[in-house]
Amino acid sequence: MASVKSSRKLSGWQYSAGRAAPFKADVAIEQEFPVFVNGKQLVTPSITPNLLKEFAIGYLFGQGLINSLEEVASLEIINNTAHVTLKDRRKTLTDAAKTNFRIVSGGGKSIYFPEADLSEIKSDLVISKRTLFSAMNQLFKNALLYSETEGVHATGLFNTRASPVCIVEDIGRHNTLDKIIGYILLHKIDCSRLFLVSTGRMASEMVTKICRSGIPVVATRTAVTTKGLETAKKCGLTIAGFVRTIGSKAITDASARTPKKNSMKIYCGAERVRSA
Amino acid sequence: MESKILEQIEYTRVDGGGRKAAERIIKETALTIRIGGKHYTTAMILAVMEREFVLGHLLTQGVIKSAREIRSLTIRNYVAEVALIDTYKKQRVSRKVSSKFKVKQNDIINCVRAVNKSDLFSETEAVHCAGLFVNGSEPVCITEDLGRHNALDKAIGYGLLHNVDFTSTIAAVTGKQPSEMIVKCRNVNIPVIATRSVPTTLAIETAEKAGITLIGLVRGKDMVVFTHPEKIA
Repeated sequence: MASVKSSRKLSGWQYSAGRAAPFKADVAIEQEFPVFVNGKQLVTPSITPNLLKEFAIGYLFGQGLINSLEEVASLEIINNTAHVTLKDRRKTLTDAAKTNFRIVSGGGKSIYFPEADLSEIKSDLVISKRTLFSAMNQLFKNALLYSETEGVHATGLFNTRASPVCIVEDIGRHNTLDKIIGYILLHKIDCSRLFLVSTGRMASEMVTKICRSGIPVVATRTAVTTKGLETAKKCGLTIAGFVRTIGSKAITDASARTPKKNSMKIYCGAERVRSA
Repeated sequence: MESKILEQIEYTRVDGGGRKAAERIIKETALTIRIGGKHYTTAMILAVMEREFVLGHLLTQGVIKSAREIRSLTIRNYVAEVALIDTYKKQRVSRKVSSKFKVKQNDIINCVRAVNKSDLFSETEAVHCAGLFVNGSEPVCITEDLGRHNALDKAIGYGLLHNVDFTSTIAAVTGKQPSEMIVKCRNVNIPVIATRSVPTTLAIETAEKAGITLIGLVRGKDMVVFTHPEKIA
């Protein structure tokens, strides 16, 4: 995983008080990654080119186009293009994609499926807020691309000991989640006792994908929207927002800040979080 | 009156022994665009400047080249019905911005500062802003949305309704800049785009080919010009 290059050094000019000098910056790689299903092109997302198999599977699952890995007959990555063959070879999904796609807040186009299809998350997981803080610190410690380029989002899947199962960085927050969900499916991981930590906002689409995956808890460094909250409440997902820790120096548009103390707000499903 | 952009909700404070507190969070609204009665797209937006958003989006996606191609636009219950003129023919958008525009460093700094001053961001930390500035100094408008793409579409839609000559504007935006943001600027001939944050590799390549000056890391008195520095005065 670590061997895949996710950033490139590019040159520019740094202007400072009227003077210009050559400048080299580490820039996050964005690449188009076409996904073909049963021979037909479904979509061309822009992603950071790592974990390609995970992305393809997670994307199809997150959009509601497949319900399990069992529906997939084969998956090949050739020249940065995913070729997915479903067991149902006549299914192309392109009709659904053309008529129903949505623009979501991350800028991507996604295929809308009714939220009524979502079922309640089944999990008896209870975790302490200390575990959530510790996982957030871990995420930032491992987010090398973020500290190098500032141009990416990071999402991690953690267990109750706050050890990472999988940490993903990508230019899009939706992509990070798609890759994690793909990882879960490809490795047949039971996620009913795991939780997510993310740098991204929990808008409708992010929450829908998490609920579909069955992960019971998500902690984000930032905010939640009304639609995200609504879906989370319906499915019984726990959302902790504005999880800020002393170890998570974050560069926002307004300023670079390092929180002076640990803090978080629990927007729903508070019964899963122990305050100790 | 109920707010279209904010909603008060309750959350649990972890440091207050599980006590409840209230705050306002961003309302996310689904706006559907239909063209000639057919579904074109549904966007999750902040429900202000819907008209500007629809027009701007059609322009940046290359569906229309000017407002004259729209026969009518009505928005009711978050469904925008667009009718194009009978003689409508989809035209190819130019792959290059042609502009002799030059912008001063100080103006760039001020434009980026102006879009980083949102009260809505201060309260919710959940919106992006985009602004258009004629000659790098006269603000046309500054918009806010859940998504930076939507915010830019709104600003461009506003510019379209007010006959702004995009070839002499700078677009200042918050957040990371992926290629799609540059493509939007290219499709409407905006020659300069600046952010406090950073672009992606594909954004830089796209800007280079399109003749767009892409500026990132605008902080304090510093900035990094990734492409076409000839437009910096």
